Amino acid sequence: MRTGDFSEPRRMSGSAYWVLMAKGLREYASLFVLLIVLKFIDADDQHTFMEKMRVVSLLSAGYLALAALTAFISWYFKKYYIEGGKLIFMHGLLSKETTSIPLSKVQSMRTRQGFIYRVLEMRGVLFDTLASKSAEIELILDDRDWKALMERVEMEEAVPEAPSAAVSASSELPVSSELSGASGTSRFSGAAEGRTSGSSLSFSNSNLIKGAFCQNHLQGMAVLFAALAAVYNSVTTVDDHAVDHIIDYVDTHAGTLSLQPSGYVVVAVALYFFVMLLWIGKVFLRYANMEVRIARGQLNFESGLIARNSSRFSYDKVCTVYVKRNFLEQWLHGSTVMLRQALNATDEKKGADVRVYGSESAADFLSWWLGSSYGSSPEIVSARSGYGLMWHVMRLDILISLAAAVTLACFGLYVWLAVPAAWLLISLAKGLMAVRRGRITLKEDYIEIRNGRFADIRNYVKYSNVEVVRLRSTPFTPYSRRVSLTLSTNGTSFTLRSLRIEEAREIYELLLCNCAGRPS
Amino acid sequence: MTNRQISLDNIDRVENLAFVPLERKYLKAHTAATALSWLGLMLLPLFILLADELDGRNLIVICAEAVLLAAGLVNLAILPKAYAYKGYAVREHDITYRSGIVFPKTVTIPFCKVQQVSVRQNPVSRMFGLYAVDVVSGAQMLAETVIPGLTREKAEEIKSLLIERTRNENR
Repeated sequence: MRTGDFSEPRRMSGSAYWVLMAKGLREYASLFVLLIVLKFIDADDQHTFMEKMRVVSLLSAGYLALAALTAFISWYFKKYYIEGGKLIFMHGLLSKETTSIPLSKVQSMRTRQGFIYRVLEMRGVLFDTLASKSAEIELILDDRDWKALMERVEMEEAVPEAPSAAVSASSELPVSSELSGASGTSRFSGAAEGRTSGSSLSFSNSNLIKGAFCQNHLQGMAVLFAALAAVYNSVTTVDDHAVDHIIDYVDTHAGTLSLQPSGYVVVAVALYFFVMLLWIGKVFLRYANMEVRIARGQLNFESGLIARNSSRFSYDKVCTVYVKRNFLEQWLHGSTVMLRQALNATDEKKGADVRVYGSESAADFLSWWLGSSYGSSPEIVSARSGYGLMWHVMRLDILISLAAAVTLACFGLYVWLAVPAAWLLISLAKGLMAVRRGRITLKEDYIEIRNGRFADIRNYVKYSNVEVVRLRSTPFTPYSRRVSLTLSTNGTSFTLRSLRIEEAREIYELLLCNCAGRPS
Repeated sequence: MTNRQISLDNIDRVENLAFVPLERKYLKAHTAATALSWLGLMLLPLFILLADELDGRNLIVICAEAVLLAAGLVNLAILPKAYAYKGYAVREHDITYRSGIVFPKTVTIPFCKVQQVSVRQNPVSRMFGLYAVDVVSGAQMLAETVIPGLTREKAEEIKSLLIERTRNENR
């Protein structure tokens, strides 16, 4: 059945069966545990311990058999091959289904290597297309098959059409002093061979931790809530009243747990550090030992401490390069770089988007994507946001502060009015910073959109990626002569508010002219 | 790689375009659809009458109906102005649609970005013999632009034009 060129339908290798088996065991684990627990805690059950153990043995056997059977069906009735530039995937036991994906339509090719995969030296290969929000197909392949598939895919891909910019970017990737020098933000290797076959960037884990530290640590709350939700689910699966027992326990012991005000501060600080550690831990697990390889208009991105994930996509699949520098990142000489693809091209829930935290590598990605001379691209026109943007940024904060102030005044808590006042001041600073940063610049080869509030965010978009342009007026436009300009790509959308109407109209026309002249 | 200079003096700018107005019947269709929507909304407060234990429910219902009626009348009153502003214009490389009263907006889709064009009807527009052209692009936002209030011939004409231009632009 195994043919090296994938020209005939074939199954995944035998080791893939064990990965599917492990997945099946994981899938049915909660049901199995639930049945066991119910068996033991059932008060009406008059069986002896040995009889119960026999039932548990039977349940275990059933659990293993079910996982083995579903894994076998999943493995045996899945076949794939490549024909006529299409990856054809046949699956299904009762209803046979054939999915055919033209390789030229594959937005990105991702791999994942969880713990089980790594033990069995396998990798899950996923093909993302624009047609679905999640990955279309997962093939579980060993290294030999993976390499053979890659060779076949590369052969089938329409690479010869890769624009010269990409080729020059990959072959003449600059070795910046920050990359190769003493700062050690990231390590550049393969410069000599890069001229012929590509280049690679590797990023130190210390920079990753630095980058994670520079982000909003409260993002760790999401990790905490996800963990708590998982615990809650497990607990309520076993016993519906478990949460009530916990609440009763806390209620009973609440008196002994009461703290002094300073105690609450200590708890809050401890919680903050815990959340920060969770966030840094999450980033470290996901992006540790990161490697980026750039070759022939393709970018390969691989990272992960325990589970290794990779993503491979053509440079023309990127719709925006996002570069963020907040004040901490500026101080520590780092940045956050994100390569954004079409929104439905990646299964975002699984964190497949390419992010690089903490290193000064934006120039390398921009050189790869926009061409090595992107920095010297002449400016055509630019426009800045006006104070209308400030009101837009502050509108919710003003409403919240007013509501809070009225409520506090009604209850006579005049001292506490300082809180909404402080909130409003922060909001004002946020609005002013947004106005200071808001700008769109049309350069000869690309568009630079600056936004962000406290952080300096720069988004780089190619003209060929612009899909739709919109100009919107407001009831104040006749007096302020300001309008909003929206441009949308297939993965991102930007609205520049409060632009001068003349400048906005000129940019609108130039965007359309350039976009129509450079089809994607 | 080309690097030609673009002169905005030589192109028909969007703000100077002569927008083609929608069919006159569209105003009637839009008025009917809007009136039906408000009537539907006005039915909702009547459910309050079923709450026997609620004191003053008649007054609440009358107030709610009055507010909805006033809002509906204002909406119907501004429809002619909205209709007059709506229109579309086709240039060499793109199609533009203009709409809105409070927030007037102009959307332009380059032909090379059009992914799909379809002609559709809803029950109200069918009563008036009107069609809408649905232009779909791959944009993350504003992926769908609908040009309503067209006769069948006009809708088919726009559809054919868009398909042909899109094919030519992508060639």
